[in-house]
Amino acid sequence: MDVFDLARRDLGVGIGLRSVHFPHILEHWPEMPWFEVLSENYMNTGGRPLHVLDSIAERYPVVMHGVSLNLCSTDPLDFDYLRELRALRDRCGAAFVSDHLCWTGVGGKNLHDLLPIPYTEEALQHTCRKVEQVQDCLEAPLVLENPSTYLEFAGSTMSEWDFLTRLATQTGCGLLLDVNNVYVCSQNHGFDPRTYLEHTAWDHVVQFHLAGHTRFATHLLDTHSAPACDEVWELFRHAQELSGGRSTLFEWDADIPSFEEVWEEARKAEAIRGAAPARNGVMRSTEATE
Amino acid sequence: MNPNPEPLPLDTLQRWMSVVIEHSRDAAAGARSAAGRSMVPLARLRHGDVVKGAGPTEVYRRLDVYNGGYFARLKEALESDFAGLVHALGEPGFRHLALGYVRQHPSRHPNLNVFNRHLPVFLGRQRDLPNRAFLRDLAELEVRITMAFDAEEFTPLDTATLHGLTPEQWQCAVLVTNPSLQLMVSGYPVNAYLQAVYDGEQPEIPGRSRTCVAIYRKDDSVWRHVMPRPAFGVLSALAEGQPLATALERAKGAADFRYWFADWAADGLFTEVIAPTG
Repeated sequence: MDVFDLARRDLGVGIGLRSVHFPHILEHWPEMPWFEVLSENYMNTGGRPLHVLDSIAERYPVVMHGVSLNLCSTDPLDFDYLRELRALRDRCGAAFVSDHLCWTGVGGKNLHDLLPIPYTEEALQHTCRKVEQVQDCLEAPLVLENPSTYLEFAGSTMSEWDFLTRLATQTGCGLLLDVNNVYVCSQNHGFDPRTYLEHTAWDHVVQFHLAGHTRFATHLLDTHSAPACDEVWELFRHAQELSGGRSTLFEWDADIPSFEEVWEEARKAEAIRGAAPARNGVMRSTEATE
Repeated sequence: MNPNPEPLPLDTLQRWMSVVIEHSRDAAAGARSAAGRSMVPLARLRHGDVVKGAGPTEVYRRLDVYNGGYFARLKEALESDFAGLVHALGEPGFRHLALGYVRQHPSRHPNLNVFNRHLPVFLGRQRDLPNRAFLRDLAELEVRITMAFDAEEFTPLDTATLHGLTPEQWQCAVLVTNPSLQLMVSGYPVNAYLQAVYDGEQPEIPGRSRTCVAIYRKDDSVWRHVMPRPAFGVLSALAEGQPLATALERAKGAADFRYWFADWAADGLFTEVIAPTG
């Protein structure tokens, strides 16, 4: 399955699976199109989380989303981690595996943060090589998310959207467009978020993320601790128009409310998905090539 | 600001940023440290040649988002594993401990669920810390709970297998314990203290009292049992791989040892019995 097949497979609107919601899900088995699971929560463990995941994966489509691939680090890839990632993917039958365009540590350390890279030719070729290694190991396209960032490097020679487009084109990887991250970065770095969307490689976009952030005096922080703001919903509407529709996921990771409240917030995306006319996107462009 | 600054090599940039983020005071202190300056001269940073910003204040403010998040994230991970220790030390004391621990034992694993492993030993080395021995044992108990929770999957032995052994086979049998089983001896009643914290009580640091605790996972929950010394001795011997007859020497003549086995087997503590055939 290539990235265009993944993009075509619109799972609908889902939410991130979080352990505080395990009791509710296991008791009620709510009608849900799909769940996204945080890969590392089910790695290096053999207990309850894994068994809950087994039960959920039997009933719902799942995708895996990671934070520790450390893709852009100059350290070599951790192949033990990759083998476990693949084993988990095979166990739960995840439709695909995603992580972030970032590094998380260097020199053997893990800072457990999604750290920014300079958008340079050196970083692009380095990241392309890493993506290819990961895809060889997974025998499937890797899907990469645009991160929220709080600084830009003076040495960058291209925009983030150009970097991602070239990365996706060169490696065949997929893109996970986090609409909230686009908005957070646009506010932190002073660009028009619509420009980002209009230069996105839509054929490679497999999934959307939506989330809330926290506004501080000097910057926006991607906290996943609140509903999405109006500007993010408006941006999502535009992304929906440009893409023609992709699997859409609402993330809530701090101050997590009840399952019903998270699902209620996520379902706002359904109304937009239903209302937005498709102007472009892989649904049309790839069908046209068949 | 230089309009076309020469970009730093990616590796240098990442190693420099790692130093800046990890500094326990703030990003500016990290940038000014010898390690920071050896990779990025301060003049380049001030001129906006590395991180975009209207001046050093903005550059450091942006880097501080990452510097502040680093310690907060790791401290939060420790807090979630060490509820008892947080109570015993109080918030300021735990924060101080965590800061030292993060500095000395930075995470080197993709998963934060193993970040706690060195804390008991680290605690034991804090010579100025009051109640150090108790705190070390309490931390040890809390680490072992997480180890039992995350231990690899296993299938408990069917108790019928045990019932089918002949008396001769029992003598030589080796009972393989499940990988979640943790056995711990403490000079303090750490399990009672931790349970009191879990129950929302405000326990005082207890006096010395030898305690043997078995920690294990059953039906996806972690159980803790304070055990009498003879039973603990037998279970420890089994966990070491001793044959049953040898292990039972540690029962010290206890009459109820048969019940121990029934309970342990019912709790899924064994995964396999290795016994001679015929």
